[in-house]
Amino acid sequence: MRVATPTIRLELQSRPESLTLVRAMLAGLAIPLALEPELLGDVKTAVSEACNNVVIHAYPDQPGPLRIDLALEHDGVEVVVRDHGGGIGHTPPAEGRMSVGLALIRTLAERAEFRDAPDGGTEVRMTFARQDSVAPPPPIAPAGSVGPEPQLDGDVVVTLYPVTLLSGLLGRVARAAAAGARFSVDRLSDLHLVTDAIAAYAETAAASGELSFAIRAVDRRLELTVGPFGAGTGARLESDAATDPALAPLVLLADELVSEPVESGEMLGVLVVDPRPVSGQ
Amino acid sequence: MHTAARVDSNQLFVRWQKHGDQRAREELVTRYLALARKLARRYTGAREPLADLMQVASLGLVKAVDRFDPERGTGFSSYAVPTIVGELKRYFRDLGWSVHVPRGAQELALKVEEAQQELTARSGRPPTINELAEFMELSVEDVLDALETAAAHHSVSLDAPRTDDEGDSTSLAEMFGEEDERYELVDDTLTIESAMRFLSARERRVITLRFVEDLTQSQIAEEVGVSQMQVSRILRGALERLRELTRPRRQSEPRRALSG
Repeated sequence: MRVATPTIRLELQSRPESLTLVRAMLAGLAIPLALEPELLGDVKTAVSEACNNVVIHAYPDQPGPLRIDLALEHDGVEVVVRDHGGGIGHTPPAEGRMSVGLALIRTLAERAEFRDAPDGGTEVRMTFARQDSVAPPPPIAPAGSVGPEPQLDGDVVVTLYPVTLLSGLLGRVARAAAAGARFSVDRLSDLHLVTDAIAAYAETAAASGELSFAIRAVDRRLELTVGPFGAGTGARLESDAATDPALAPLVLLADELVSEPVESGEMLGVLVVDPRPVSGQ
Repeated sequence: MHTAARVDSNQLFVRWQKHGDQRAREELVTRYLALARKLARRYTGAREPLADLMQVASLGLVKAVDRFDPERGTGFSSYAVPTIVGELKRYFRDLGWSVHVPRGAQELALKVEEAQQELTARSGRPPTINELAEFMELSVEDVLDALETAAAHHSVSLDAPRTDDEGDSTSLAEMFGEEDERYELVDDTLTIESAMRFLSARERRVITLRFVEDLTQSQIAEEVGVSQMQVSRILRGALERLRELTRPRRQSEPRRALSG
């Protein structure tokens, strides 16, 4: 059923700090999707507004689920921001605080639709046009057979297609999460090497064209789950690292590396801790 | 409250646009200044201070007040927002912003690097991103972006392969030979030994210190006499080249020339 269009889904909680992760995700797409800086700026601003709207209005009392779906079309980018809150009817777009955000979205997006989702909540659907229509869409590998998606759990869960998008996304989102978990720049740089290694490995070892990752980061401790990879990946990692220097950071710099079989292959669990002694903070 | 204000605004628009009442115009601008500020704040970043953008947004607001037609039945805000945003975007375009972003980003990357060294010297440990952001009065996102630039900058060309002669003939085995107790790791790494020879002595040293001796990047920085960010770049550049050197063999492609 999958169409060969690059797609990304981001699931997180509507906490104010989630916005950093969303913006990091968008920044990570700029290069693989060849987005012009101005288009990227518009998408970032409009999507931030839509997310802010969710944080403030959909779940005023406590965080709730927030989902962002992004699809690259030939002539532009479509982004849908969804929540499961009270629906847009509860916050009439008037001259108040919220209208600035909605007006900004209408201004920046080529098309913008606000509506109550059938299952409750609100859906903001935005389409952004490419100015530079000559830029060809990135080459897409044929979709492999996609098994049932593994259920992942974390502060942020990202599902993407094709795997080549991982190199831009994983590192950016992981670093933003690590920054929030008070990683030092030192260990953040290690994490950079680790995520680069995973992204490089995924291009050859992923079980299919689609890949998911989940990140949970708190108190200088970042847990990453990524996959599915082909069966036996975890067992092969050490020996693969002996011939592939790109893998060395993953094997040598991560604090823990585990693999867990799932229906569609194997998920890789990576733990990176910043052991910096507590001082000052 | 809002309803009352809107009625007043409509009267003010009539007084200004039909009767040329300057005070009504001023009152309208004052009344909607908060809207302009909100929009300006959304475009504030490391490069453009809020004060400058406020001026630009205010100009857009004045234009909107002058051109708005209350009889069309839409609220003033929904007319003013595109006008103000248009003004802000034109301002960035006129600055040639997108053209000059790389330079601005590199300057910022250098500043972050300096700030990092200063904070490390102060507290004796590498700072967190939040500490850097606070110190530099930037957002966490700006600091992350600057680090991104710093990491990409010169990642390959910083250490040219084989140009510095010192220790050029040092083999990986000889280098590792100095650290006896971690010897078991050598087996894992030996298969890339031939590729390691193409790295500079400094790259080999940094790689060994990080992956074999398990020093932190900051400790390596001190040991080698460079900044932590340089260590980060050396590591990335060296790994990238090692990868390039070993990849053609595995994928039976023609071996590519070394990129400097």
